[in-house]
Amino acid sequence: MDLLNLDVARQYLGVLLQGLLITVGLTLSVITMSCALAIPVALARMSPNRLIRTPVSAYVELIRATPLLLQLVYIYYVLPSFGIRLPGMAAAVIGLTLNYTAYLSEVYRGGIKAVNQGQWQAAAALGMTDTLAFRRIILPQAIRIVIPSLGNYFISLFKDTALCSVVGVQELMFKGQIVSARSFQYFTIYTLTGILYLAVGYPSALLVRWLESISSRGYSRRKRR
Amino acid sequence: MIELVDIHKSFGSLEVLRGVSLTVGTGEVICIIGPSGSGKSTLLRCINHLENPERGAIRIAGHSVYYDLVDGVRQPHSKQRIAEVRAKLGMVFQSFNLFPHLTALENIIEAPVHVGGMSKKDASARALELMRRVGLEDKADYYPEEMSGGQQQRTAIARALAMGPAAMLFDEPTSALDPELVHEVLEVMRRLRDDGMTMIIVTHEMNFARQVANRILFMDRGVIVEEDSPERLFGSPREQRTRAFLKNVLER
Repeated sequence: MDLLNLDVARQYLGVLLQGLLITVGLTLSVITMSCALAIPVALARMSPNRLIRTPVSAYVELIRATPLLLQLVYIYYVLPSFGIRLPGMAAAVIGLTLNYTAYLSEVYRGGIKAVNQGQWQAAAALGMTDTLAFRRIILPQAIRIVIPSLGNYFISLFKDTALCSVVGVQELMFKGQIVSARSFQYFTIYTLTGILYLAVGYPSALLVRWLESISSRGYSRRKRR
Repeated sequence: MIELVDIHKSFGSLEVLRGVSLTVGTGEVICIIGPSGSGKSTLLRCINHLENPERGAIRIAGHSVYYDLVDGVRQPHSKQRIAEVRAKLGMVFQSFNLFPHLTALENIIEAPVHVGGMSKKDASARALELMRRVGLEDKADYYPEEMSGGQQQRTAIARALAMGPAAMLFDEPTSALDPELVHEVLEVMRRLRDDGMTMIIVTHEMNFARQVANRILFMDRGVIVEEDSPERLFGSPREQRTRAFLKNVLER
């Protein structure tokens, strides 16, 4: 028997592409929300006020110390016991966003701390309040510092969406499992699934590397080689 | 113009300022000299509230920097009030502290636009005028890291001037510069003095201090040891500690 069955591949490519579309959509929506939400979380973790800092730190540590798979399953299967019933897609988006926000907040925290203290002082000396200094002076520099890390989290999120198959989201991995079980063409279907992940993941990785090279470049008017 | 009364400041158990009083008149140029760790920079940073002294009072043009007395009770200033006081004082740092993600012009208009509420157009016109004053009219679109240290520090001076400060504070403005670049920065400061700017300058440039200052303060271990005209302080210092310091510095 031929391992690779091109007819099967052709037959199920459309279904798998549908899954890929959901995978990509899930990745983009979660990374967008996480990138935005992680900034206030990072600030809360650096707050001098313990009432703000402690609960937020507890959230970040809880997320970082437990498996993402458990978090997803918990939201989908345990929360209904408390009357909170979520569709798989909502559970996936919420779970992944909670998870990635926690990790990205740590990235931002490092980035904000890495901005030279003299920048705060110069802003203060010009009469800027802390809020204004953060928004205009510190954050733009911090973002530049964290771009490479954000890029890597973006790639890993793309792959982590596969875990959402356990809460019934019909993303690429889910489709792959269904289709291979139906056709018994495990080699063909899973290889094709892998190729589809690669087809998006590898260009994304290249894009991230390009972003890295930009952000490691100095601030300059001229394009440098 | 600027009045400091009995300023005390500690970092942990280390007493950095132990009772410093000083009055600076309008248009006066004060140079503060002294060994490192003598509290010179800390004193300067207390004036615009970058450090908060434990004791003492600072008044700028009659307004208290840290608190108001309301019926004899101290009311600490709000963050907004502190920011307003700071905007009245230009500060120039040893390490320039220009904003690296903004061009020279953007550095200069940042505070007038976002703190002072000036339009971008007016602020830019003013900024270009200031850049001309510091001799950098052709560098408006340069980012800090594309400029030499001397150019960066001159931009920083223009940035500090952009808020129209009543006085300028200089914290060792030439200490981070290559020797051949020191001159251009001092030249800009000299012109500021000629324009009548009130300045307090912490510096190791003894010749410059001698030439531009109305008064020299010698600080050591958190106190002002000696305070006099440049001629007398450099020519015939009264205190033993001043003599020892000057001998060390000038004979290098």
